[in-house]
Amino acid sequence: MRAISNLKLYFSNQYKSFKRSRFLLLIMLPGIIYYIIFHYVPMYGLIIAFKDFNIYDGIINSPWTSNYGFKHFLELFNLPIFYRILKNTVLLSLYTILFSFPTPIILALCLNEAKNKLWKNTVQTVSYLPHFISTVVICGMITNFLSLNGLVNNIVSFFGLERIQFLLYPKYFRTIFVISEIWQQTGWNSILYMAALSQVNPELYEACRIDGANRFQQILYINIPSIIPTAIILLIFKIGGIMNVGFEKVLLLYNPNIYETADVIGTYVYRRGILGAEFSFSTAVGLFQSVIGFILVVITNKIAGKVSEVSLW
Amino acid sequence: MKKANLYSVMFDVFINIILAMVVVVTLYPFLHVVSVSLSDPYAVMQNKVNFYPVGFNLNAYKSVLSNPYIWISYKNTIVYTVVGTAVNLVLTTAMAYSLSKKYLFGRKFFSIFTTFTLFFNGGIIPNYIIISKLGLIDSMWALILPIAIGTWNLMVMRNYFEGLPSEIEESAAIDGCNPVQVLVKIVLPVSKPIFATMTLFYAVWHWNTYFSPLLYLNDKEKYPLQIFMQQILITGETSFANTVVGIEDTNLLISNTVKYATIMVAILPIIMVYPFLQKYFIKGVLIGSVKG
Repeated sequence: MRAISNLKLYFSNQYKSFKRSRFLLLIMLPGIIYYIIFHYVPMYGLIIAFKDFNIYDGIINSPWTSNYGFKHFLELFNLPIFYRILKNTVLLSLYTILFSFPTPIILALCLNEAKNKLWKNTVQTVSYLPHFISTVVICGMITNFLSLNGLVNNIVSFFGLERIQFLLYPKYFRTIFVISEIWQQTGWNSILYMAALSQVNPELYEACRIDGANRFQQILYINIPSIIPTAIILLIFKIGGIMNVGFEKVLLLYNPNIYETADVIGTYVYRRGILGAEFSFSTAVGLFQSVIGFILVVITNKIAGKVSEVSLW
Repeated sequence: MKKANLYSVMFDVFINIILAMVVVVTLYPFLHVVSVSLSDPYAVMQNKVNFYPVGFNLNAYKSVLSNPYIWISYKNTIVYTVVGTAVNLVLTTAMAYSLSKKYLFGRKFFSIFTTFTLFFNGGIIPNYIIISKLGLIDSMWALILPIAIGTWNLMVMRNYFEGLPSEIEESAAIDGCNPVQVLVKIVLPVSKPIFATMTLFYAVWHWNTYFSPLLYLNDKEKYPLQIFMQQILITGETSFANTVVGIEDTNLLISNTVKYATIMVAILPIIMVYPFLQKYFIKGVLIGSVKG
């Protein structure tokens, strides 16, 4: 009897809550529909990775593949190119993280020491600018700067070295990618560190000075510890995103000569899937990427939560 | 004491040298682009142009601006950006406002429902299939609807609404305002800063987007600026430069200055408005960083 009345109470509460938020639910309906159509239906569409999709049969009626649906995955794991694109994706991300992670921190620490406000604002404004330039323009600049008559080759020949078509040699690609990434994002990525530094209690500096610390030591013992939580959060995001290397940029910069180092999972999916119309196989490749990426986010978040009590959820 | 002062001065010098280097390294590529775009193609060919224009002239800009496709693509980009940003703002505001209310029915579910998409998605191919099934290929809506809400922006906006004091809304409700009136008359007027930020984030997103038009548009008349740029700058489709300039032998050299002029034409609007809008961007980033 009691259970039933509890149940009744529960449902009447739910009903009240529903009635109270009718208006809210109504206005968020377009948003919900958006998420279903453009996020959850594509996720459902991932099942074509286990099927032999063809346009006439559609997602539902296309036949399942052999090997319990895992044909495309087996095919992928048996391709030598798979190890190349996996390696390129991971390496490109890792190098980008490794070299572009410290630069915003250094910039923020330096900016924090600048005394002249106008100068400080100028540096900030200038350094954020590249962030707003589109990938196409950035890659256009890179391509043209690196061409035989480009800026970089002018510098190279100024030092008496031979002009090189940098974008035709696999060995230069990662360096080009990482340097341009640093150039474009360092300023913008320093914003959060600046915010963290502005939260530091000024009394700490006072105390530190009385203890005889010089300014470098103040940075070492006050500023750096104060930005570590921010740094950890950002690192989690970066590592979680390792599988999603900026593939649009790769797509704009690479050419068959440098597939050896430049071809990543995203570009491979684009070539096989969109250009080659092999929908099922390339979906399987994309799914592999998403799953690994998702696992990485979960793991890094767990680790960060244990280490520093900061985490995403 | 003196030693400490000297140390401090040296320290300042060191810091400011680093900052000056950041400014130079950031700006020099732009300076170079401007210089080449204003130079004589022969001087560029002879690698004489490094820091300032050599043989100053505006021919490259004349060829760029006399190409009908840059105007068409510019117009397209503006249309996509304005319509897209409007759709973004309406949908994001409505959803963020609802999610910010503690009493929302199924709030927890909807939070997970939206946040999950940050970490997992269908990927290129399933999206492509859905969009072509919806008949959106070669339609402007293929660039707008699939990114109608940016989940990250949604979370930023929800955080902002959560931070608003609830008393005013409650008293307005007691005074007999219906929910629509509360939203329009009470909430929206105090949310101008977040609207400014969101407008900027979304507008830049639409302005710069390249991959979706590459996937979904085939009609040259519908190409946005970014696709046009990609063809001029990277694919090396120099036929454009050749036809406008019409000098057979110097095609290659002229196309160099034309390319750089194209870059300038494309980024000038951003460079002009950006310094004035910068503070709103930063505000947005900081609001977003307050616990997702």
